[in-house]
Amino acid sequence: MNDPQVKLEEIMPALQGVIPAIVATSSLARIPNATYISQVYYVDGNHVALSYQFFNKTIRNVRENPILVTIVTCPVEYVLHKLTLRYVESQTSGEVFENMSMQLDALAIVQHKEGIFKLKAADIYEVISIEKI
Amino acid sequence: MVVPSRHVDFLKQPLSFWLATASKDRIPEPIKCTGIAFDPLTDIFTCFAPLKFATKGIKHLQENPVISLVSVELHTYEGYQYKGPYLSHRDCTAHEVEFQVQYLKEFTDTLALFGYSASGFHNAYFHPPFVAILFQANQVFDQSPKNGTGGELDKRQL
Repeated sequence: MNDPQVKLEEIMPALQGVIPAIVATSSLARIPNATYISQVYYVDGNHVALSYQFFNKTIRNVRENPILVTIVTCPVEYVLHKLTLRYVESQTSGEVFENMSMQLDALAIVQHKEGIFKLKAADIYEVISIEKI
Repeated sequence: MVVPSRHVDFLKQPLSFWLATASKDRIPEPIKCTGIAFDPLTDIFTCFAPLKFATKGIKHLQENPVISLVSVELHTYEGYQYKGPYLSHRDCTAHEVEFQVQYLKEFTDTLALFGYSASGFHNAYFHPPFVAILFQANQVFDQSPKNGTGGELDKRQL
C-alpha cells in the first residue's frame, strides 16, 4: 500500500533523529492525541520503530487502535513526509532495541537530557503509506 | 475555566503547536499549526494552519468534532495538550495572516538557535492560504517529558 513515489529508504535523513517527529493517535473513543517523539527509527523497507519513553497516552491509544500517523522532517531539504503506520509489537531487547537505545542516549547527551530519554521499549510499526506533504 | 491562568503568558511564546484530529474510522491526522490565539475568558483557542495541511483534518472534524492541540516550549520541553470540542473553521483574516508571519519568524528564529535552518523551516510551514480552526478546551494535560507525564491537570490547582 506504500505510495510508489516514496520509499522509506528515500527519506532516511528524516529518520536520524535530527528533528523530532510529531505523532498523532486516536483512542477507541475517537479522541485524538498528539505528541513529539525523538526519532522514527528505520528497521527495514516496510517497518519503522518508535521509541517508547513516556508518552503514555500514545501507547494506550495504539494498544487499542493500532493506526498511528507521524510527520518527519528532512534536516537537509526541510521536506515533510507523513507516514501512516500500523502497530505490530513492542520489543524490549534485541538489535533494534539496543541500537535505538544507543541513539537515544547520544541524542540525550546532545540535548542535555540524560536520564529523561531512557528507552522503555522499541515499538515496531508496519509502514502503510508515505506521503510527501 | 480549565486552562490555568499562567498558561495565558505561556501560550504567547513562539511555541511549537500541532493539532490532531481523528476520523470516524479512528484514523488520526496531525496538522502543523502556524500560531494560535487564546481567549482565557472562554477557553476558546483559534488555531491557524495552512489549508494544505488542514484539509483532511477539517473533514475529520465534520464527522468527529473533537480536537487536540499540543504546545511545546523548545528550550525546556515544557508542554501541554488541550482537548475539547471543535466549534468552527473559516478563512483567516489579513490581520491573522500577518500574525502568522510574525509568529513563524519568531518560531523559526528560535529553531535557528538549535542549529536548524530558519529559512528551511519557514519554507516548510509557510503555505497560504491559511484557515482558522476554533475549539473550546475542556481538558488540559501535562505533556512535559518526565516519568508519569500525560496526566490531566488537577483543576483544584488552576
